[in-house]
Amino acid sequence: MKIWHWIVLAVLTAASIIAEFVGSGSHGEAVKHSWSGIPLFWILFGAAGCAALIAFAKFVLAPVIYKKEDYYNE
Amino acid sequence: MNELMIPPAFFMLGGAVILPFLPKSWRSSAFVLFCLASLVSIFMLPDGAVLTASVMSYQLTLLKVDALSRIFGIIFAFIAMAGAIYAFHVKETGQHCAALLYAGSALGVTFAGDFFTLIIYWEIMAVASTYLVWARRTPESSKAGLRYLLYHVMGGGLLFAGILMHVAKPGNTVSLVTMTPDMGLSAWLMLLGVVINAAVPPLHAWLTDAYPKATVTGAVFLSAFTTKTAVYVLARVFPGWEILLIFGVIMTVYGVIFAVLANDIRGILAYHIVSQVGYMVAGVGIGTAMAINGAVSHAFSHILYKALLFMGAGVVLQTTGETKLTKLGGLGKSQRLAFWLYMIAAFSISGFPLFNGFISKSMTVAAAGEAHHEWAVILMTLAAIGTFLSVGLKLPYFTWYSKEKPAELNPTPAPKNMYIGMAVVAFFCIFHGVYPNHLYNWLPNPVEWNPFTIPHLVETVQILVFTFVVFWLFRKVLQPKPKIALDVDWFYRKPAPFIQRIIVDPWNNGFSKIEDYVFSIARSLVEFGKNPYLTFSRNKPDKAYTPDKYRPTSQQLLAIALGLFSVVVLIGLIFLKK
Repeated sequence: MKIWHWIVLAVLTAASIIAEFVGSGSHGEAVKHSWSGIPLFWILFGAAGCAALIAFAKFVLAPVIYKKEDYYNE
Repeated sequence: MNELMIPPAFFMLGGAVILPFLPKSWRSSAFVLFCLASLVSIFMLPDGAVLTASVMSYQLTLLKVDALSRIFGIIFAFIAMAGAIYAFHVKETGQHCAALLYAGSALGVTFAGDFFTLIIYWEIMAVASTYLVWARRTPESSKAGLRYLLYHVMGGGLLFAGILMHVAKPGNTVSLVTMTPDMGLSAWLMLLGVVINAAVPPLHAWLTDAYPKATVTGAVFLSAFTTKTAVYVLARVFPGWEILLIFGVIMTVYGVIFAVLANDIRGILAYHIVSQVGYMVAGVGIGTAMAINGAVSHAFSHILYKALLFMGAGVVLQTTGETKLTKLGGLGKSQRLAFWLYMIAAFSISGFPLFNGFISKSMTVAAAGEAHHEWAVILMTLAAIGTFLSVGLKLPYFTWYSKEKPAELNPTPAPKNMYIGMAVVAFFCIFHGVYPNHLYNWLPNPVEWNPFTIPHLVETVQILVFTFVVFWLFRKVLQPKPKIALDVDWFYRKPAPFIQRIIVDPWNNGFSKIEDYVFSIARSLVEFGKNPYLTFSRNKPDKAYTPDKYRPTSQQLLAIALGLFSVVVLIGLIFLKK
């Protein structure tokens, strides 16, 4: 990852946050959900969801179901 | 009208029969043309077109065209054509014929107007697709292909049993009808048969077991037809079944979790078929007009980007002979075109704005929101995160980047037609992402959904950016390992040798003992037939009969003649006495 990659990501995030607070007035969601009022919800959900998927797969499932490649002797 | 209607399936099925008789150099071109003819015929068929035939006392509907069948028909014929271009270099006619039979019968299912026509095409699909696994000709593909076939024979059997029970009920006909959960065992058996083909967990393992072991080009066809014809049948026959919403959402998450653990690149993609088909199954389960539109449009988008993903993975396998992430890496410099074409599909499946996944996946998720299934919205969005994580980041990073190219990897150039096939598909992934109305106009219900709203864009950008950030932070944790993750196929693969020992072997041994015994009797009879004298002779110098040695003496002949004469005289006396 180069510096400019991080800059692009930062700009995109900043733009999305601005749009979230400024732009949603005129183009509101069609349906209100229980999380609709939480600021930066999708940032938190994206980060936490990704970390949770990795953690669950690698630290909960993998110790149980990871086996050697020749496990089935085929 | 009937005589003007030609079912689109016939062009491909007829093509499969004609192809082996064409000169070898024409076959690949003919393969493309047969698919093109099917595609053109679908556009030419008018809405409401029907072709019927009477077989015994049943009125079969070989062709029935409406918006739902047309959109599935268009994408099936199109992807078959793109796949044929991708497979242009393949010299094995058997693979071309199997692909034509497979795609043709998928079209047959799509345009079938009755259950009997449907089940016939359904079974042809199962057999033809199995060949695309077997054609890899490795011991693994041979065994996986057999498991795949057995699974589909079971699924087809359940579907057929349900159909027969349905048709046997008084007042029912063979015509395709919408089923409801209160229609009893026949409907549930049919559903079970169809969800096996839709790869709904725990009935999905045939897919994740077999697809990674198929041929380079076969996997592209496999990714398109079996699961999506099942989605079509679900949308046609089982819309609004709530159980489909529950299992569909489970599918979306199940697939992404297992994909995190997979090491085989086509294994990752196979698990993401399970996940993506989950969105469609859930959409059908919700059953509203918007949800059905979402399921159908996502099936259309999915067929495009999933075929392109398998094409990209196919280039890696074709050029390096490898599909395991642990043995790949650093191919980016030598495969820049393959990488970027793959990434178009990866952006699409991850739902990047201006790619086709964005305009279809969101419709299903929004339909779940409109129907107030918030839990489904959250879980399907979590699955979208996992999709970007595995297909958009993990797979390309560890295949084309992450380290210097291993010395033992010496990629050969891929045939140009493979890139042309990929480019054709990639074009539509972007075209529908930019201009979704081209796709929306074909949907079965009127579309009131605009994906390009600020909340939707905000949500998408934030999720994608922060999924990437977390991936980058934890990329060492995601480092692939040379292992396999056990799935539910363990339940029939692991006990198979044990079951063989206690159930199959005793019968086998018993029959082989009987066989030995029967053969030993047969052998004795043969020996006896060679020289019957030996049976009665005390000294046995020769096994075979020699006329000079064993010629009867005149005394023997005389004895036989006298004996016979005595018998005749005796019988004569008995009768004369009367």
